[in-house]
Amino acid sequence: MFRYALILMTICLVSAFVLAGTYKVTHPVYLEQMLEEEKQALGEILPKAVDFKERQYCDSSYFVGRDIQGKTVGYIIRAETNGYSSIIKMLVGIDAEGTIVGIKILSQQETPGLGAKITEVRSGKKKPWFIQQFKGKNFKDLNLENIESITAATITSQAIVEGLKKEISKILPYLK
Amino acid sequence: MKRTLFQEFSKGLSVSNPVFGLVLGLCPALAVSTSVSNAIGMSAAVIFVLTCSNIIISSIKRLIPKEIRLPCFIVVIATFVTIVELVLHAYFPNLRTSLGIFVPLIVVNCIILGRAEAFACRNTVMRSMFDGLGMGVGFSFSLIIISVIREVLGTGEILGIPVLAKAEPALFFVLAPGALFTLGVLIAISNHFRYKRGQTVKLKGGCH
Repeated sequence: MFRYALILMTICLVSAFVLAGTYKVTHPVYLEQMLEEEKQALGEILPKAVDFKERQYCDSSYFVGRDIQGKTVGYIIRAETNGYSSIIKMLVGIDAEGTIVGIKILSQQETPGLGAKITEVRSGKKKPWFIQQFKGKNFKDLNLENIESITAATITSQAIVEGLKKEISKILPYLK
Repeated sequence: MKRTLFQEFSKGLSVSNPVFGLVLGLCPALAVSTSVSNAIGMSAAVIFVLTCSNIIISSIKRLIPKEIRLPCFIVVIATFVTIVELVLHAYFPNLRTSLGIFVPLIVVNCIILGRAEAFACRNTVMRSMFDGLGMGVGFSFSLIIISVIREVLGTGEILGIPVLAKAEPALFFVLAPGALFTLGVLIAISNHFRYKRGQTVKLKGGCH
């Protein structure tokens, strides 16, 4: 009996060491990757801004984008919404009035061919058509009637509209 | 009647193909075959885990008592799966996002424990390695066939390149029922050819 425990423990111990080693190598790369991805997304959303400063608010944070003269050109907030089969994470660029200036989906796992079309890029275009529609719209005017929603993915479309409305209205009074 | 190393490898592609022949590992075969790029990523992960776990298990088979062999196998398999997951996280974040839960689920993939139990714990390291490689390549082969059919018919594209220019794609193939339908038709075709060649068609699937 004791022998069994010893054998199993040895195997687990070896496995733990191997995994610890792998983690040590891969984790810094992973963190770097995440930072890089976020930085790139920030620049895409507010191309005019050259400097981004992160500010804390409640349990989250937002970015203030400034141009070369130090003038604030916009804010970038993190927005999350419950889609049909996943949590959709976005970065949304807004101005002080709550008008959307840019938007990027960081992660989503909606149904391929349906909800996943939120990231679909039409041929000849550079940016996904669905979320590009939100550009230039104030959060107060957002609803499914003035947005071309995705066929057979009403829940996903609705989730993004509602999620943006909720997150922007929540954060707007705190922006400075 | 010992098989040669090449036969250990090639049986995974023909007679005992994991998906079409043994009907094992269907969960990833159905779920991850929505696009060819997912299928390729999943295949690479399975080939790696299957080959490595076969090598390790066959080399420590004398140390493992029969009574606790399953927990030992699972620890070895889970270790390799976690390595794959950490590497995907760090170097292929996009692939990791699209494979999602199916990477950790390789741990309980029938083929891998099945090969450990049925092959690696009774054969030499060399044979087990070729068996693992063959089974892994066989699984990849099936997964890629299924995903090509589903992606072309379901979205009209292959690896993001449009191939069905005029026809409206049938969304059915991308969704879950399309996976079962495609797999069913492919198994029927493979059984048909086996039957013609006089090989016995196994009527019962599952882990035995």
